[in-house]
Amino acid sequence: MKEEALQILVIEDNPGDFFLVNEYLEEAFPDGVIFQRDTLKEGIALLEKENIDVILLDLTLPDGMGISSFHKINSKFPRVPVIILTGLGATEIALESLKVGAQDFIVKDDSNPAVLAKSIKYGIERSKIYEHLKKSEEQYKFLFNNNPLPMFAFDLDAPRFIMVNEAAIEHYGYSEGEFLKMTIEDLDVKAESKNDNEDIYKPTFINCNTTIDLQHQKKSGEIVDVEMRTHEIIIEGRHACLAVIHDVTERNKAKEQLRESEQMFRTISENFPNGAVAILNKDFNILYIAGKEFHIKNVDATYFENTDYTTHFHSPVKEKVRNSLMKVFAGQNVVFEAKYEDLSYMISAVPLYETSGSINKILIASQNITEQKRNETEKELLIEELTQNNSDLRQFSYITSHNLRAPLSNLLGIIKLLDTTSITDPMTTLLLRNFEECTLQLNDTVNDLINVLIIKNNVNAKKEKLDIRKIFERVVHSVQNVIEQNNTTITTDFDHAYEVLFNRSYLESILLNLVTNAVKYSSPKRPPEIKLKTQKTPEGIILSFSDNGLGIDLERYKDRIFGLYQRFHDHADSKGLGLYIVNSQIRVMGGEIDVESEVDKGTTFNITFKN
Amino acid sequence: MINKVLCIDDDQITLVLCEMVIKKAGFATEVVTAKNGREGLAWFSAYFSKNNNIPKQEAPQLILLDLNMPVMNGWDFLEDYLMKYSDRLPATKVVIISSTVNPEDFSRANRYEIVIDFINKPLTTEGLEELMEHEQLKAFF
Repeated sequence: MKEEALQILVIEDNPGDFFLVNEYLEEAFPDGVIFQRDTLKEGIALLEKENIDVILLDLTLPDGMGISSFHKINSKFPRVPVIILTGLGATEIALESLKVGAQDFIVKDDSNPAVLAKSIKYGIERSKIYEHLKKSEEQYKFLFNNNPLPMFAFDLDAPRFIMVNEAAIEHYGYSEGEFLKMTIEDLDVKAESKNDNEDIYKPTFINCNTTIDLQHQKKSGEIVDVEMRTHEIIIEGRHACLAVIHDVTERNKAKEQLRESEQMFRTISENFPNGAVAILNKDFNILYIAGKEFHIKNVDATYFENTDYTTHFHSPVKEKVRNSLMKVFAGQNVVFEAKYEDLSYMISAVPLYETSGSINKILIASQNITEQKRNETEKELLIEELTQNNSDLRQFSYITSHNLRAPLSNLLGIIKLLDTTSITDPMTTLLLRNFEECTLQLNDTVNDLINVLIIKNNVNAKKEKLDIRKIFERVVHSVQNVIEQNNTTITTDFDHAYEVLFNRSYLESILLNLVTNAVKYSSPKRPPEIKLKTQKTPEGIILSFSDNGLGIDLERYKDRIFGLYQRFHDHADSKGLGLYIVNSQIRVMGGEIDVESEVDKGTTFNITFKN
Repeated sequence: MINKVLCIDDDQITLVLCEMVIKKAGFATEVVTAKNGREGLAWFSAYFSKNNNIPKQEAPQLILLDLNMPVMNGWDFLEDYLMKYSDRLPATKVVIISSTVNPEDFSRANRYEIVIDFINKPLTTEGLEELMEHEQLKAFF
């Protein structure tokens, strides 16, 4: 049916020859349309207009001789099959035309309709197949050349490259020309670049249909990890290997990083000091557990894996652990203590959030605190014991004080009631006066001691804002006559600071003690002078209290100056209590006192009232 | 002047001195004494007894109470007294007279409404004169 629609162009200038060919054609294709043209030019003009199925071409035309006529037509209309018409003596040229693409040739004088018809039909079919092949080859070439993955083919017998694609050229840095002079081995890593430790796998291509991992070196010298997939193919009759290259350098790098970070994680977890880290799933099953403690105890940590974490504890600790870990699955961080066998652990647990925000796993870090626990218990016991002792001692001191004071107060009561005016014996009067003096002295001593005792036990004495100026004024007023008797001059400089946070009676007592000391231990060579000055410092207010008295030999007494019953001067009413009480009162309020002194020049006390 | 003072103290000398000072200062007409808390309670027990054989006495308007005493101390006396008798003798007040130095005792004394003062021994005429000025006692003088 298709034959009936055939359009045949015969380019033949010899009318006799055409007559013959036309006759055959009409017989072979009764429905065919036959065009005849005398010259190539006219033939080409028709081809541009009509849809010609086959061309019968004479090689001796007025405007074309021999094989060049075929080329002229074929280059313009490569898809139209051409059958060469030739005379008896020109078969060599006809054969040559076959080599360059003509479908067939027909010797005009030695033909018949059947041969012509067969030749034309075959020609058309062959041309179609050829066309098809050419198309698919072009497609494959396109796929090869434009493939984003580097591809090349190399000859298996002499491993020289046969072809390379753009991606390969770009990837390796060699030009196509360079490639085609190289062999597959030229891509191997050069000896001097090789890392001695690494044994590079060198492929042999006996079996070409494989995938192998190897290292290649680019023209730039850069070494890359590649995965090479190869297929055996025949290219132009040659036994070849087609290779697709995957650069896996980045992938391997990522793998290596992952391995390193995993290694680091293992190092940390396996050396987790003094305890263990574990990861649990929702059923409290241990997915992973490690820690230094396992090494010390020589226990295989993996023994615990896939066991319920809580089952390793005994009730009621088990329930406590379970309850605490439930909270972690609810999103809380928990820290609790738990006993495991005879050891104490501090367990911290945090949720491990999935990217979706849900918690399917938790992380547990347990620290063995047995030693600390034991120390703590010992410390608590010690503190308890000390507190008890301290309380006992305090009670003892209260009772002793009371028992001392009870008869003493009776003596004082008696002295108060005693009416000596009725006694006539002067000796008895003198003895009674001495008795009274002794009793009062004893009372003073006992009271001083009790004061010390109360200060020491009264850490919580009330603090209030005090005006040093007013307190000092009152103190001076209370000992006004003593000061006047001794012609004492007092100068004060409270301009820089005067307000302190302190206990009122303690401050009065301190200032009183210092004033009376300054008068009591004044130099006989000069009237006493007392100077007070305050200054503000970052630590607090410093009150400097200076006198021009006898001074204290600090070289000798430095360590004892604020001690109990320390006396530095031979003075009748010196008991060695004053500075001890001053120091105690300052310390119990959180303050400090220090002293500067020079014998026969004077003494300065610096009191720091802490902020 | 107060009609009757009850002195509770285990120290005989203290009791004697108390009586002398009270008389000297003109603080009270009559002084009765007890050697410890139990004797003090016994006095009130007898006072409220239904037994008519015991001659009816007048109740003290003031109790001078020592703290440290054998058999029954001042605090135990106070607790019992408050429970059994104080309701029936609303006018009777307590002054503590002690040699104690224990701060605990001072703060405890503050917690009893019936205790109107705390005097450190010895009891002197000056001390009593001050007490006569006391808000809750000055009506007697």
